[in-house]
Amino acid sequence: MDSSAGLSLLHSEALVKMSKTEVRKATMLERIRRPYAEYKNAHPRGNLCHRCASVNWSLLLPSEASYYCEGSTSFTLFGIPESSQELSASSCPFCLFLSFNHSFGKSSKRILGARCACGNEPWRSDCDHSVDRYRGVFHPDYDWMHHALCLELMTGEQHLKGSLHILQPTRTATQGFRLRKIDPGVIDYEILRQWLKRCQRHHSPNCDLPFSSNIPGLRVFDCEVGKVVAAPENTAIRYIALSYVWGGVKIPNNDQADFPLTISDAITVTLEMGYKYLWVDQLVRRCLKDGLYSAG
Amino acid sequence: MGRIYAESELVIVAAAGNSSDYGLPGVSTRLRQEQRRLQLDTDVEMIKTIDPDTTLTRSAWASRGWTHQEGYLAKRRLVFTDHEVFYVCDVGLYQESVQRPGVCMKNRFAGFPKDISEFRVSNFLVNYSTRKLSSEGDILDACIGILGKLIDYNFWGIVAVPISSSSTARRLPLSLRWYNIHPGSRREGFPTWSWIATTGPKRLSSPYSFHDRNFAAEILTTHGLWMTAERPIQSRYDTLPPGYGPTLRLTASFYTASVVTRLYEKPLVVFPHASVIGDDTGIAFALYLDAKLPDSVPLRTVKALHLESDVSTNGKWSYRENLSFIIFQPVGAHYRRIGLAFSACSILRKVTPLETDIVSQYVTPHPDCRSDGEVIYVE
Repeated sequence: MDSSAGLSLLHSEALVKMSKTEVRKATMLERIRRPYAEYKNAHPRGNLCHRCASVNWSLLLPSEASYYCEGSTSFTLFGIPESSQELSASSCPFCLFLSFNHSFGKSSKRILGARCACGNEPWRSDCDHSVDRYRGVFHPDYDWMHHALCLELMTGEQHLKGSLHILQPTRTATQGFRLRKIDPGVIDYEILRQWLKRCQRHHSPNCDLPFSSNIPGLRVFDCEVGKVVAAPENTAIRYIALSYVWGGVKIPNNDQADFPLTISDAITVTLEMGYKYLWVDQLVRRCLKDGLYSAG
Repeated sequence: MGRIYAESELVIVAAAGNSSDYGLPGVSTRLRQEQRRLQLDTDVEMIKTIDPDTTLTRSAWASRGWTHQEGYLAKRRLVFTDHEVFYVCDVGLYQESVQRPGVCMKNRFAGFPKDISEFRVSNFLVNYSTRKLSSEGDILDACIGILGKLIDYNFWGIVAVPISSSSTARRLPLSLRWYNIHPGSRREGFPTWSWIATTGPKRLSSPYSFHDRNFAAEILTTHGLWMTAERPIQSRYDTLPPGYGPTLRLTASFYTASVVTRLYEKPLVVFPHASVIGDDTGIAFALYLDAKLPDSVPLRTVKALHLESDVSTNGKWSYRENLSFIIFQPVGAHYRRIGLAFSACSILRKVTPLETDIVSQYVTPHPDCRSDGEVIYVE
């Protein structure tokens, strides 16, 4: 039997027995497969292995993702039975990429799956993206669609926890889900301020702070002046608090230059976020002894 | 302390490194890790993103005692990790690496458990009891803010919860069903019947049942009176001086049993007669010790309190609880809790005592092993 006969069989009898979703998946997979020769033609110097080059990745971009998203949770691209150690020795950059930061053994059941990254939740990918399922109302954060395909290693039902591989176009900025490039040494505080603003504006009443006056005896670090001050008695002040692990590091004195790095960084963040006061237990610990415990 | 975090505009969570010398990555000298990217075709690249929830739950920050309530009570959190900054509030999750905001549903973000109802006291206990404290005496102080959210009253960390969210009139008695997965060590200054009195990871034997019906529990109030927890009484979380004496009064029909220690295995609590099988059989349950037993203590006779709960239903199913017994050891005129015995029991045939079968959990000790009703005082 030649291959075209096999294909026509798939299209006639088998299709009748397949569910709509299965048909969709089969059609999808057929569409994105490509022969190795085709890959080599397009990328003469490309070094993906036969397996990783068998998928035409350009067809899995966000512009296409909505097509794959609807009605399907995850579909199998190909099997990856090797252990992470074997993958890390591969000369194929894709295989190598999948092995970074992970450790797993051989398994004939392991596959590379693809699903829509909308919401990053597999169970949400087949629902209406703009409606808050639990409350049945439109939510301000849902006023957009964000489709993008992400790849993940799965063994049976088990996802490899901790990371996702997102596919996205290199050049054109598209609507929807898009990853930002993280600069290891620079934070764009404007982005962080936007989050806070969005939350303060749109997340009421969920994220509202309890209305109250200042906690009696509250002392905070004034980041502009550089010293601990008592909160004014009559006006409630807005402050940022730091939650961190001491790890045995003590503050030697009240000189800001000697503060541990986490605390001096928190002072920077407080100012960048547009605030003046920072609460850090070690800086204000004298008031702990003055009975602030009872206020907590 | 709890209020400070609950009323803060924003809480900065330092979830990278394990000391305050590490810094907040990206702010000054500490750098974030490079994002991994791979060009796949001329127009498409693959980028590795790190799941914020996993990063957070694996951090040193999430392993410490005090930080549990700091993160939980905060309304808005700005989290600094080795990969990126992200923001979690009660509604959303925003990531620096994701240009469009994402939304996480309530309860979906494991790093900050939200909406803890009385049914999730178990989750709190499971999570909090694995955390480390640099000072063991802080065990209650470090979670008092969270306890205050979960429940109305607490007695050294043991909860009293309302029967339903709408009811305030009646309150359930204490839930004493906690147990240690492995024996911990004692924290001095706390009643032995509370989970705060020992170190180590803990669970509740029936996490969804609080209605322990067949005993009456009374707490010693600060005024020296014995009061039932079914009515509002003042919470107690004071550290007790050595020799303080009993703080819990239990009225119930107690079983008398003995403890048999075994090599490499959990000790057994042995009841001389089983309910259904015949005179030549005893039954035994595995004992989950609160702390290691001192060698010298004789354990011929211990008191076992059978915790009988309502049959649980979740609308569709109803099922019976495991049998569980709180085990008390006599010390002078009073008692101390030493552990919880539960799960499937073993049949002991008296002729060949070594022979044990694991049998159905519905075999109970014979009523003959039980007193008619007595009062014991627990330290």
